[in-house]
Amino acid sequence: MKKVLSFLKRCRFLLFLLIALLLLDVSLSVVFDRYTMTSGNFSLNDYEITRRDHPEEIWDKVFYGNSAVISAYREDLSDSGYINFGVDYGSLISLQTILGTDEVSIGSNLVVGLNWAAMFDNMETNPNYFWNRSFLEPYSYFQRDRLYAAFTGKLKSMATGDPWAEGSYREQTKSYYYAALSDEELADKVAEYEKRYWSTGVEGCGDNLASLQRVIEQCQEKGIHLRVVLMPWNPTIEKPEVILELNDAIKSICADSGIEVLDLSDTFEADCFYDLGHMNYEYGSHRFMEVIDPWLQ
Amino acid sequence: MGIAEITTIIDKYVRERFEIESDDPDYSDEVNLFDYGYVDSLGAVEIIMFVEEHFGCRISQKDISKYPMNTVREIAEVVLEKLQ
Amino acid sequence: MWFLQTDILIRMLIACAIAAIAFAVARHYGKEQLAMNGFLLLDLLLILYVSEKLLVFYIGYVLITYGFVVALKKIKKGRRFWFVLLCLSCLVPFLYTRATEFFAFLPYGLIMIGIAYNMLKAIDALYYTYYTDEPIPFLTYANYMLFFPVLTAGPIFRYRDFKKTFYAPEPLSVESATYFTKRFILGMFKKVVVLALIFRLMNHCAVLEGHWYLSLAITALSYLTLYLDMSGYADIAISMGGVMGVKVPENFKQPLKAPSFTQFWRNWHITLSDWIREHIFVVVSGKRLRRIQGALIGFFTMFFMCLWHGFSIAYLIDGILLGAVMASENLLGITTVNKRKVKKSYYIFRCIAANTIFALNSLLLTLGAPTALQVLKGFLIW
Repeated sequence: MKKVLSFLKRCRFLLFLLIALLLLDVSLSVVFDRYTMTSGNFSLNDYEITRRDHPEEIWDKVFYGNSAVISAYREDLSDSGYINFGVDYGSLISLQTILGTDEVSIGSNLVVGLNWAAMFDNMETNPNYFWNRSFLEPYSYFQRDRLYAAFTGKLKSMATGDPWAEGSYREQTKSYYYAALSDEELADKVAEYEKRYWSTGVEGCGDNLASLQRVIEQCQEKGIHLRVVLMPWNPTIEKPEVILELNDAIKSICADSGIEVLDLSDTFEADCFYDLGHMNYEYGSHRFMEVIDPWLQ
Repeated sequence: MGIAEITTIIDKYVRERFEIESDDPDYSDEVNLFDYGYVDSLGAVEIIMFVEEHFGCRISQKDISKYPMNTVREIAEVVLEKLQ
Repeated sequence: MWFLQTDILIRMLIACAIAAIAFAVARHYGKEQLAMNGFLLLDLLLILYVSEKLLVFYIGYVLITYGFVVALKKIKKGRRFWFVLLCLSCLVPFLYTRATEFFAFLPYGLIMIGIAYNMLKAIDALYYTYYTDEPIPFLTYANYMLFFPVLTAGPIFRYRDFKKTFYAPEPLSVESATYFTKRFILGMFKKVVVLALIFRLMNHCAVLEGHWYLSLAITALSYLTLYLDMSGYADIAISMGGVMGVKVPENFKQPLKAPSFTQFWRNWHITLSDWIREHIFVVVSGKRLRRIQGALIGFFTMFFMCLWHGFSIAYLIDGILLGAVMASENLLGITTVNKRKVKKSYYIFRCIAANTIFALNSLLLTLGAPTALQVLKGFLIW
């Protein structure tokens, strides 16, 4: 016992340093997180905006998806009470991770809006989402950009006296889409999607399809009523073979578990679209709400 | 001749030649003579020539490249190896 | 200096931890050398993480320069000629990067971070082979060349020193771990916090309207900037190396207490000035050295060091001026000052003089030639 004590005494600096760093990190993750959300001094990611607008512990009815869902489902136009949990790059892999944490607890209903962008495994993701933070990653490292901005911002405001970003992000909303791209711009975008994503075929969606199966099981375990919506596809662009196969794959997985699927991929005319999958705010989203709201209730 | 004796001889020479007082707290046979400003590069040559004459050994470019000779002790070790 | 990017720093720290653990375990089974040789793997993985091109370059450079070492060992006829030729060919990539600064049309595909430091190591290995005629094992050589804590900006290892610590590594104890952790934190604080503030302050002053006290402030800040930058980095490299059992040479020893310009360069960026002086010194040594030769050694030490920093007229002039100062100190025999024999005021004056000369020269390094000239002119405005 004496030997251990003397060893600890010799390590006191290293131990003290380790404990101090851990305490600093944990306290930061509590204090700074709340400050980030409420101060309005930071540009928030889509999850944080959702959390800011819905601070309640349990989200009873949730409409999850990527930027296509952000552009289409309008909370302010809906009586269904569904929360728009659309996040950019919102994939099924991310949803599976979210349902695995206790950060987000969903009450009774979960509707998942899927389009091709949510299914291809090589699609990028937003590293700032909490579910992209690895277990070993210290909070101060995960939030290093904001901590640095806050630290230098405060320092500068102390030195110069003028305020630092006081609440300039308070009114921040998720990003919407207006009007529409020209045909050439749309064609360029589609060509790029073809080259980077669709060329990987349905096999390139393996992980997300596996996540769909896992999400179904997670919802069954938690007693959440799950439904799936195939998000709209701009009719001016002909659906390639891989997209048709992908939609069938989704439908068959859902059918195996008795999950209701609402296929809206061919429901809307070209004027509703900003580009291939995003609805424009001033018209397309209204059309989408006319169709989706009755179904949601 | 042992390492201790060689060190003493070199130490005595360095103190006299570079006027280092006996009660100088910074100086010892382990201190880097050059980093602490006791000896410059010309002085280094003089030490090597003294050692060659006094101990009758040859300090070649090979030795300078192979062994660091920044302290009295290190120089003594090279001399010892030469004498064996 | 990679560690300024957080993701690379974290990987370096993880690599240090892995190395320390691997070394401890290997030592337990009496296989220390296996672990030490394994460090090469960590070096390669880290360089790969930073950039594939850089890895390709360094693998090529290490293999080629090792080929030089082996060849030099075998050559019996015309050894001196081949020795000089091989040393010069180690400079080729470095000269190429400098040439691309002059001739923009030259293709610049390769990435060569840290080449200025690592070519010196390659040349030192050739010196070692030529003068000691001893073999250099490949794994030791590769570890010597690619040891990640010192890869990007030194301290510059001498092969003989690296070999000594590589074959007799110092096991990590609680006390040494505590020392290296403290030194690492100090280095980071100097580099990331204090330097950032000082650098902003200096640049802020540099744009203000010239005045002698402003130029004085900028010169002092420029000295401080370089000191914090390089001694901070050296602290980090030394502590990372130390945790891995490798004793990394010191780069700074209280330069403010240097009573002569010659002495200053024994306490500032020690490994660089030592490298240049000793590699010149070894060639001319063995013959009776008179003051004039000592002065020439001093002059060319400064001259090459300035050109090493940059190929431009400004650096050329800087090299000549500093070389002249060093040479004159040698000629006048005032390269060393015995603190206990001279009056304290004289000693302090000499320290201030030596550091001031360097501070003025540092303007070129921190602000670039045009701004440095501006600041120097500022001294004339009263």
